[in-house]
This record gives sequence, structure tokens and C-alpha cells, in this order.
Amino acid sequence: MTRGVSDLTGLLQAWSRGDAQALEQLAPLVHLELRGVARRMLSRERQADGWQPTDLVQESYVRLLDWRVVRWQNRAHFFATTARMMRRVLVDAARARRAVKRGRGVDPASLEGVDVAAPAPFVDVLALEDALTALAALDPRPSQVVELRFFGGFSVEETAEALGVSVRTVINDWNTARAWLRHELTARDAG
Amino acid sequence: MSTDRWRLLSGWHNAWLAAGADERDSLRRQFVEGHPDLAAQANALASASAGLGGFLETPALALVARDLTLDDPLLDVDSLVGPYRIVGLMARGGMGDIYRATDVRLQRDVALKLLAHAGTDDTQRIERFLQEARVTAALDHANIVKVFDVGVLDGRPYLVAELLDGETLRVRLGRGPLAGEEATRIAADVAAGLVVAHAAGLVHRDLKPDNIFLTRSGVTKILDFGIAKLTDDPAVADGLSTLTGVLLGTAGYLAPEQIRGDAVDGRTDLFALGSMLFEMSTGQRAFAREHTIDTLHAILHDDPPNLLPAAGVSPDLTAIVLRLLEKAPAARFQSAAGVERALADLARTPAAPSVPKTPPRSLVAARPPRLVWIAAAALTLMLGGTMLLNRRNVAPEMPELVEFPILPPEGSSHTNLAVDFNVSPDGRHVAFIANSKAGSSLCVRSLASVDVRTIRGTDGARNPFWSPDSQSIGFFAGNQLKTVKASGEAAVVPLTSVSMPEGWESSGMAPAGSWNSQDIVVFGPSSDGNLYQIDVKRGGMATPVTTPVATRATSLHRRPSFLSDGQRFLYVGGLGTKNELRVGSLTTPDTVVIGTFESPVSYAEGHVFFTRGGNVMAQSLNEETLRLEGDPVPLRAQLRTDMPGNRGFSVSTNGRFVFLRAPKTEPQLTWVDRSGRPVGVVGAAEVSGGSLDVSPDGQQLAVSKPVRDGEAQNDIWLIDLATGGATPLTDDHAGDYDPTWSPDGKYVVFNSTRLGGLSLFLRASDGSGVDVPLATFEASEADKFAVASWSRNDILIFNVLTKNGDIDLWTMSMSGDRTRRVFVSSTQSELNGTFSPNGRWVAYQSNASGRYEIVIRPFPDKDPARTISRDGGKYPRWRGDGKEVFFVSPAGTMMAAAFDPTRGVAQGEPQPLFATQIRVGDNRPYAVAKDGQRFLLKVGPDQQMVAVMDWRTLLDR
Repeated sequence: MTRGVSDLTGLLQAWSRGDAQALEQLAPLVHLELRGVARRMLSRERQADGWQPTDLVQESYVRLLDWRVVRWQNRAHFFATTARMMRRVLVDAARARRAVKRGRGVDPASLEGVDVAAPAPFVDVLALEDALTALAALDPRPSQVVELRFFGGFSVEETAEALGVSVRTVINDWNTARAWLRHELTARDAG
Repeated sequence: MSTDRWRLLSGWHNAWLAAGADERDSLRRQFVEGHPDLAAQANALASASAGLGGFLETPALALVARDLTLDDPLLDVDSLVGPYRIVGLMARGGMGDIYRATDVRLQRDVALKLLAHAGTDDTQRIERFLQEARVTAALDHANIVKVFDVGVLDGRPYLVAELLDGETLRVRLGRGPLAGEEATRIAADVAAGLVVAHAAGLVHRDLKPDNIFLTRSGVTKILDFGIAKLTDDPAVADGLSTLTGVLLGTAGYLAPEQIRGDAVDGRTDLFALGSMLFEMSTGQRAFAREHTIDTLHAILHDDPPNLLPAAGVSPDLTAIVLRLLEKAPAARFQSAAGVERALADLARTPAAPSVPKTPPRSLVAARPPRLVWIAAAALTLMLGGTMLLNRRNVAPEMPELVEFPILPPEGSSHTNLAVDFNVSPDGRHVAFIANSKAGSSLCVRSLASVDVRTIRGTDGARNPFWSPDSQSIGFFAGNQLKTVKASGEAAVVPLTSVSMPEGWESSGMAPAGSWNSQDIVVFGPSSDGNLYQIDVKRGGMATPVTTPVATRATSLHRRPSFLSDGQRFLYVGGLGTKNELRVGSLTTPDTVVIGTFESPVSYAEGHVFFTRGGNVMAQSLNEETLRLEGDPVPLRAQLRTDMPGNRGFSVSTNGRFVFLRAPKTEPQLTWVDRSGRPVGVVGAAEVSGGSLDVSPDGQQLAVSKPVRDGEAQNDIWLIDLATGGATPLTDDHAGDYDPTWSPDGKYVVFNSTRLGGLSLFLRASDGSGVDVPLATFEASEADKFAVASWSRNDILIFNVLTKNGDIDLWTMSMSGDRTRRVFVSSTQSELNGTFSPNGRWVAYQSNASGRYEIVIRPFPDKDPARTISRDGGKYPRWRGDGKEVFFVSPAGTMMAAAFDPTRGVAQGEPQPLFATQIRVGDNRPYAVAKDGQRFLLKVGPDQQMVAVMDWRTLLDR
């Protein structure tokens, strides 16, 4: 089935109004788009170009929009939407990979460092997702900070803009949330 | 742990992080002693903080990139793809991988582009890819890459093209700007390729440095005509129509018309060529911003930076680049051939010496002088800090038009009245009314975010207005004027009861209020035509502040709006085309008439706003002399004009302008299910009066529609529901409305203005014969006969507007002598009678209780009516088995009431089904499928409420 543009725009609009089901339908499309992004990230040419992951992500987000309808939403909404969508898609990707790997009897789903200058620490993204959900129940704001920073790849300033809080607040939330999540993930490993 | 405790912990944790190593331990102990319940958490945070490293510092996508591409394994060297043997990978791109391969038949090296897997939903991508092959293969030009072959491998399509030796312009640009002659030559090559492509009806639509290849031998090739569109071939264009509006290009090279979703043609490619020429000449992108969304904004609104002269680009080439980068396609070169010529001329003449840092005089003069108020608007934006689209690029030249839609909360729609919203005086919030199936409620949205807050306890709210400090909102609900805190934190306060004028919903007489800084609210109209005042703090009785000067019918006072002294207020008196704009006062009974307007008026910032045609006009008002000054000037805001209430805009005291935009698309006649979800579209809903009636066999729809758009002649048309084909049934110069089918489907009854008043006529549905008069205005004691229903026992029931001005229901036997009999008559109105399928019951609407409710009465007995609606209702319709009656609530919700057609009793409470856009004033604005599972009605584009940061940016310059 060919999916029309109006579907995408309608889904995005519905989702921006809080329709959780629209996200369900959006996720596979965004996943498709992000795969293209990932391919380009891995291509030599793009690396030479010096583009950052977030540029590509934003490009992919913009590519899904019908600007005749969505037009000028504000930046805060843009940041928040992008981050939420990425979180969803990346967690799904990790989940799918775990399913594959379990079948082969190897390690749990992980985000391994790829093509970055310093090897990035191992992150069990599914465990992170659980811990992040638990954190949101305590205080939604730090979990949103993590969503924007880690999944969305946004800067501290952009995160502050997206959440309508000060840069200081973002930094404080980020500090505590990282330590908290690190502890939670370690405890999980130990348990 | 609560949020409070978490924040306490986080506060301590950050203080602990900021402290020196020597202080940390004591800080931790102090905290643990003070908050033993948080001891474990604090200790955990402290120890985890030590070993964080780069935890979460690398964005997730960078970590997961490889995982995401696992589905597309690379091909092994020497593997065969059709007749092509893979030699090696050349590049991985967004859409696929490009290999070097050998055609084993011809022993020729080729480039093979293998598309990435797209999951299950692959049709569109494959179609796009095959399209690329087809259109590009048709082109034969030195500056366009040659395509040889196309195929599919394991569900992954591939394309075979000539192998090029060299690099893309993107890679070349990575080493810095190009010399002027080289840039000119490349641009001329691209233009030459475009001449051929455009002549073939192809627009590239995605030209960018990645798609321009520079061969080692010095030839420029355009790659990837993959999303090109065959502009002259509707068959091919159809296949690609789903792509229209999707932005597939790399943002920085898109043309303004692509971003807007407007029509695209060859001039779109010329804009991209201009962007590339700019970048080749200066090494900088013309519209690059840190975020794509800002880049798009810059393309729409910003001039390219003034870098060309400083980069040593000649004035002639500068002029070419700037002309290519004109926002309006009409201002650019009109053809690629024109660009090619201009560049060729440039190459022939020796480069004129450039004058760095001084743009040519003509270019300076070409810029229109910016008015001071644009800078003022920018300043407002910066200070307000609300809608900064680009905080890094805030320059005096801020966006001309910052606008965004205001969407109602999930599951609801904007109301059908144009007056149901107001922007707060400080311009930070919009109060509006949203309809959901539960009814209407007051909503508040910040202009700085998309969050919409529904204020509790505001059921049935209409026509909100703000206190001068923007903290509170007044509104009307039922027959009450109420106030509530805009934050929604305090309870709703009823202020006073209001006697609303009858029929205000459809007459544009909606009540409105204005609130001054002494907390006096002036509101009206009331049914006696006066404006009243009430003290919000003291409450008590509202007292009149105006007195109608003439009869009630000509002088309802309405739309009060305080002037800046808070004592005098503007208001509107009169009706129809003679609206007088007057000034009243809280302290004196004197009234000053300051003008006559065709439409209601709003006041803000020393300006009177009113509508003329579809435009909003602004005219300056001198509060001292109470004189209008200067000429009214139009704002560039295409207002929605088909709404009762006829205002559709609101202005804040700092210039924010919120309006209902005229929809760009027409409403469609749409089948929806019981939850309101569209399940089928019949076609454009260019129908008049709203009445829809489906034939008993379910095959045809009878409607009234204008012969041509906007003409007064409305005829009855029959629409084939399977094909959407429409044929006229009647042909008369007057208006024919409200068709209804006979139970056997052989006739259509309708009403017509052809004799003056409204008369009922009958016409065979196969078009034979002539229109037969049934009940005519000429020969009768009544003014209007309309909206019939025809029972299986051949009884016709219809509305009759009596000489007293109320509506009664009469009947007529179609098989007998056609004598007319009164069915229901009272001093109130009973109308829109509809027979149950078994002919034993009539459902109709009656306002005997003060508002319209749905009642059911047996036929022909005159037993008492049973009211089945609870909170008002209009337009009853029956399900095919008579076990359900549908109607529309005052807020526009489709309702369903279960009914026992044998015993004649309603069963249970009516249930809301879905919110509709049905407006007041139509007669039978929907039809129901026999099984009661589908409803046919007009579904319009979503109400577009648009906020503009400063109304002065809408002035024509």
C-alpha cells in the first residue's frame, strides 16, 4: 500500500494534539526515514561534510511534513516532537535487535559506539527506557531533559527552550538524571 | 518519592557537585541526617556521579546508526546482480548504496545504485525509483547522467547508469569556494542540462551539490532526476502526486514555493542553481542556519547575505545570482535558457573589476526601505520571547509574517461561530471555545506553546473576553455571564444572568463583553437591545448603560469595546448594512455616532477594525476628537467569511492578530462512521442550504446546488453515490432547496423561491415531466412552505411559516385530494418533521421550552409529544428500522436516541456520537444510511485559526 502524504501530515497533526495512536502509526515511517539518516551518517561523504546527527534528524523530520498545513509551529514544539519521535523509534530498533540477537543467543540490545572519535560508553537502551519511564513518574521534567538531550541530540540551550525553563534548570536536571539513571542501570545489571 | 522530594534531592545533588572535593562528604552527611528518607538515593547519586564518564553524552542516533542499517547488507564483490558483476562499493547514500559494477555482456563498467529496503510499505519507493529510471533514461544530454537499465533484486530496485570518474560538487565545496570562471562554467553546464530537461517537461526539484557531479575530464553532470515530475503528462504526474508537498530536497536548496507547497516549475530549479552558484562563489550557503526549520524560514523571508562583493564576485555575476534567488518565481530568470545565455555573455566579456564590500548601487536601490514598525515588531518579539523562530538570527529584519495555526484539543473542533475567540490584551494567550462530543468548553492556549488547556466548569461557554490584566476571562454560558481565572486554578464565578436576544446564534447578534481596569464589564446585546454593565468585584444587578433609540428590530446594541480611558466604549447599533459605530459612556447617557460600517467592528490600539468583503480593514480612531482619521487600509488576511457572527478576528493591545483563515480547500461531502471517522468521500460539497437526502435505494443523493459558483440560481441535483456524477433535476432561475425523496424513490419534493416566498414542488426523479406545484405561496395564507418528509403511507409533512412569524407543521395526503391539514400549531415553532420508517411517528424540533428540542408524536393521532433530547437538538433523522433517532445538539454534536417504534417510547438517554461542523441555519444538513452506521455530511477542512505576531505586518507595503 502506498501511503499518501496527507496521511503523514494528518498523523503528525493528530499526534501533536496528543493522539497516542497516531504515534503508533508514525513510528514505522520515521524508522524508515531514520534508517536513511543513519546510512548517510555512516557514509564517508557525509562524515567529510561534518554534519551532525541532529541536523540529519531534523532534516528527516522536516521531510515528513507537509508545510502547507503544519507551517510555522514554534521551535519548542519542533524540538520536543523530534526528540519524542526519535526516542520511540530508537527504542523500537533496539527492541527489534534484541529479539534477533536472543534468537542467536548473544548479548542484550545495546547502543554500541560507532564511528565516533572516543569510544562511547555502552548503553543498554531498553534498560534506559525502563529507568527513564520510572524517573518520569517521580518528576517528568528530568526525563524530558534526557529525552531531548540523549534521544533528540539537542543542546542544553535548545532543551531549555523546548521545556520553557532556564538553562540552569536543564543542567541541574541533566546532572541528577544522568547520575540517577546510571545508578539504576548499574543496579539492574547487578540484580 | 514525590516530585517535591525529587527536586529537593536534585537541588542537593547539584550543590554537592558544585562543591569542592573536601566539602562533599560533609554536605552529604548533613543532607542524609536532615532527610533520612532520602539517604539511600543521595548516597547512590554521589557514588554514581563519580563514574559517569561520557554516559548519555553521545546522542542516541550516533550510537544506533549501525543497528538501523543492518537490514541492508552490502553486496559481496563479484556477486551478480542481473548481468552486472559487483566490483566494489562506491558510496552509501540516504536512499541506497552505489556500487561500481561491470556489465558482463558488454564488458563495460557501470554504476549500480541499489535502493535500500523500505520495510513492507515499499510500493511508493519502488515507484519513485522506477520513475527516476524512466524519466532520466529519456534524456540524452552531455550534462545529464545517462541511465542504461533498471531492475529489482530481492525486493530492492536498482538502477544502472554510466560510470563517472570525478567527485560531487558537495565534495569539491568541502575544499572551499571555486574560482569565478569555474563556478560560472559549472552553473552554465547545469543550466544547459536543465534546458533539455525542462523542455521534456521535467523539473528536477532536488538540485543540490550532492546531485551535481564534476567529472575528471571537466564535464558537469546532473544526477538523480529521481523525484522529477513530468509536468505535462498527467498520467505520470498522477503516479507521483502523492509526493507533492513532501519536501524531499535538502533544505538549504529548496525554493520558497516548495516550502510553501505551491506549484513547482522550471524556475524552482533555477532558485536551486542560484543557491549553488552563491555557495560556489562564496563558500557559504546562502540560507544556512543551524536548524533546518530556521533554514526554511530564512529561504522564505531573508535576503541572501551580502557576501558576494566581498568574495570578489563581479557585479554582473552578483546580479545573476541575486536574480536566481528572488523569492517570487516571476522575478527570477524565466527559463534555464535565459540563465545559460546570461552566463555565456559573462564568460565572453572580460570580468569587470569587482569592488569588494560595496554592493552595486542598483542592488541597494532595489531593496524596499524597511519601515520602522518592522523593527518595532522584532523588538516586541525579542522582549516577549514567545515565538522566536530563530534566536540566533534575530536581526532588525524579522519575519514579515510569523504565523501558526491554533488547533483545538484532541477530539474536539473549533465552534461554528466566528466570534468564539479572543486574544488576551497582553497577546500571550488565546481564549477560544472548542466543541467536543461532550459539549463546548472554554480553552486557553499560550502563543508560546502548542499546549491547550481546557478550563473546567465552563460547559456551554461562548464568546470569551479578557480582563485588562489578561488574568481572567469573562464568558457567556446558558443565560449567565461568568468569569474564571485564565489559569483555570479557581472556580468559575457566575456574575449575572443575561437575557440573550432570540436567535443570536445565527444572526450575528452574539453577546460580547468588554472589561475595564476598574473591573466594570459592559456586555450585550440583551433581548431588550441594551448594553448592560456590572461590577465584577461587587456583583449585584447589572444595569443598562445604553438605551435603544429606535425600535428593537433596528437597534440592538452590541460589541462593546472600552476606549483607553476605561470610561467610554465603542459599540455597534443598527442592523444589516447600517451598522452605526457609536461611543457610549459609563458616566453620561450621551452617545456619539462616529461612522457607519457594513460589518461589526473591533477596536484595539487606536484602530477600528472591520471587515469588507473577505478582508479586514483598519482605520485610525482619534480618541480625543472621536473622529476616524485617514482611509481604511486592508490587511493581508484572507478571512473566513462564511461564518455566522461575521467577525473572525481578534486584536490584542500589543498588536497580536488572531483570525480565522479562509480555507484553501473546499468542504467535501463525506461518509463518516458513528465515531465521526471518514469512511468515504462523495465529492465537493458545493451544496446550498445544506439539505441532503439519500434515495430510498441508497443509490442517489438529492441536494440543492448553485448552477455555477456564487450564482443565485440553485437547482436540485441528483448525485450518483457510486460515481460522484451529478445531474441537474430542476432548471429554474430562482432557488430550489431542501429536496426529499418519496418512499418509492420515484419523486423528489423540494421548495423553491420561484413564486416569491417559498413553495413546495414535486418532480419525477427520472427527470421526466415538469415541476408540479404542491403548496404555493401565491394561493395561500402562509409565506413559506419548506422541508418536507414523505411517509410510506403517502403523507407529506412540511414546515409552514405562518403570518404570525412562527413555524407550524402541516400535512398533505399525496394519494388523496392533497388537502392541507394542520398537524402541530402553537405560538412557538415546530419544524423539520420527519416520518419514522413505519409512518407511525413524526420526529420534529420544537422550541416550546425556550430552545429547540427533539420531540416525537404519533401520527395521525395527536397524543402529547415526547421530548427525546435533553439539552437541545435540531434536524431529526431516523434509522431505517425506526429504532434510533439522530439529531444534532446545539454545540454541533451528532446524537443518537434509542426508540421503540412499536411502543413509541424512547429508551435511555441520547448518546453523543461525534462532533460535527454542522452550522446553525441549515435545514437537513446530513443524511443517515439505513443501518444507522454511516452519516453523510459536509466535512470541511479543519478550522484554521491563525495567530500573527503583529497585525501591521499584514499591511500592504
